[in-house]
Amino acid sequence: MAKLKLSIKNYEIIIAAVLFLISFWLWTLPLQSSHVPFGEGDAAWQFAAADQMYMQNHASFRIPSYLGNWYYGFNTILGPNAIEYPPPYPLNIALSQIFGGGRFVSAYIMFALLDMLASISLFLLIRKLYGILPGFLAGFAMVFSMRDIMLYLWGQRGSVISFTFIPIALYSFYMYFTTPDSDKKKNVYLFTTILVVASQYLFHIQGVIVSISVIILFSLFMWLKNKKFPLPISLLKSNWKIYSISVLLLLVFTMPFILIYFGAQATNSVHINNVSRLFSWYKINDQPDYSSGNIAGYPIIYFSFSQIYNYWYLPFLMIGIILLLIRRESKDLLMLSWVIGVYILIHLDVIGYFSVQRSARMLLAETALFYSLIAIGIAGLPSLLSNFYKIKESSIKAIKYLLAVIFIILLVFANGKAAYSTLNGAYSPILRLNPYQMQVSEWIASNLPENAIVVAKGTLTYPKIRFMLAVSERHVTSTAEYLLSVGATSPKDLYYMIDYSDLVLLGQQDAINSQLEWEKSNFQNSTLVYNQNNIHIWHGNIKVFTNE
Amino acid sequence: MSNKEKTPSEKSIFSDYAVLAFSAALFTLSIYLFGLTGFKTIGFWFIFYIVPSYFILKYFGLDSLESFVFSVFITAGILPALVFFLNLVVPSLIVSAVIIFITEVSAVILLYKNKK
Repeated sequence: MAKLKLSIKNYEIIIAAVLFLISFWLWTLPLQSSHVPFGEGDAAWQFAAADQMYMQNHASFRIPSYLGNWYYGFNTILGPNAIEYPPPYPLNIALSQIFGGGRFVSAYIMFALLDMLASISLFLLIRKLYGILPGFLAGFAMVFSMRDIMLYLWGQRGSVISFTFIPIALYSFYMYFTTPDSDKKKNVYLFTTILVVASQYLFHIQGVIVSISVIILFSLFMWLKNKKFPLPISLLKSNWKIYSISVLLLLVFTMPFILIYFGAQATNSVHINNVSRLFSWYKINDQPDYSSGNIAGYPIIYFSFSQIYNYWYLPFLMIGIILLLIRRESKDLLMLSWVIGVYILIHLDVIGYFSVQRSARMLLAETALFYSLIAIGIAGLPSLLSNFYKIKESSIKAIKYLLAVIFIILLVFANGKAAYSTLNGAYSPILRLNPYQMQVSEWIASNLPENAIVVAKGTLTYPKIRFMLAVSERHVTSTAEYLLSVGATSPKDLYYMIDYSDLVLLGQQDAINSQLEWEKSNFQNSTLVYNQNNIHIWHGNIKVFTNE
Repeated sequence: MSNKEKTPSEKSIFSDYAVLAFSAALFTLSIYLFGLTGFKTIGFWFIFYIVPSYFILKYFGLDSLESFVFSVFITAGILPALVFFLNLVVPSLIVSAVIIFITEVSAVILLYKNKK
């Protein structure tokens, strides 16, 4: 048997595995504490989109009306009851439910697994381009990325997943671009690039916009650097079959779903808006809601460098950029393209192309970029210093590893601790469906007609109402006014649920009494069809269409 | 990215052991955290998504790390898309997924048979 010699390079697969396992443990913490679904409204929608496929054992472009009524008429081309994301994304979750055997647990394991992948994606890119130490530092930092964690918890999971693809899309294109034309692997990287970008598109288009923008910028830089057009006609001619197949592949996986994106209502008109924002990386103190601590639905900490990263990392980030600018090798140009690409995309609100809410979500692309630059800065600082001071080769290594150890300690005790406490404490039992709400949801599923609209009052939070929609497979909502106004439903299909279960669990007797009075005065002529565990459902002669 | 310090067979042995160790650790962790449901969910993901595509990508000359990471990302979108397309014709998600899996495994067997 051949003697197994191990070099540092051999350990790369072990490091990727360790990053994966740590992420899996950490990101599933909210599920470890309780198997009840969690998140905000978007989380409920995305769970419901998958769950209806699981329940029907079928996937299609159409969704049941109980879900379609949520954003009734959202897609102006496909019409009502059209799915809002390409079906392959929720289908991942549905397949895990089918083969994993757990309606909630399997679904949420798959959500966590797909959302946590930024660490291995970034590890591959930075490890291959800059070496194992910066690769590990960048990948390890992404395990604790608070921005990704926040959006994952809230439920913008398709976006988070799509952004995790950026490093691997860039790596794949970089390898395609820099592999000599004569090498057969060039074609392999062409196909992996096409398939990675197509796969990314199937989760959310925003991540694809970043990948494509950076790829275009990098190609331009390389054109300038090499003074040679990146895709020569001669290569296209000699390799036309391969390029034709790759374009065809891209079209096969993207075109069937294009109307899902194009049909979504556009709400922004192009106009110049607050040019001063261009002179900041991401200015927030000019936003109308700044003083309230919430900007376009995001809390201030989402934008805070000190809370997303750490001010101690800032010098290394700057050093990382300086090193890239000094060296300007192909890999450095890729990273610089990423910097410029993200800068452009997070400022698209200036021309009104994006709302601030959308451009803020683009900041997801910043985290992996910044951690890459920080890691490059840490690994490159000693060599940079050796240009100015006489430093022994062994000392350069020692300083590099010392800085890496300090960075890891800071990461674990600052970012890691924050990530752990956020994930471990996320969505306490009262913020998830309680057993009585689960029970009534199952009753609704078995006893109310498919087109029933259930207005819920008394439930503690809006997301819980929406999770009851998902579990009951009926349209449970906070208001039916819009659906009535557009004729999507009629008063005879309306049910009204008065939910005291959360108030009882919280011991809020005054609120219970006041809600009881309100109930008495509003449902005298209706029929009580459900009365268990402090939850009442009324039907017939419903005169109240909202819970406000 | 020189591999001077080891022969391709040594690298392959190590990589295969590493991938095996990773899968064992992942299964153990999923059972520990989520019991049988965790095991089945991760097992499904690993067997349906990762294993066949990992071998296909390795066949085309990518190294172990590339094959593993690419298999994770490519299959996340592409495999359910294939199941979705098939499900437009075959009226069952389960049957569609099984057919896609059989096709994947057949592709791996065919590729490696031709290699020999």
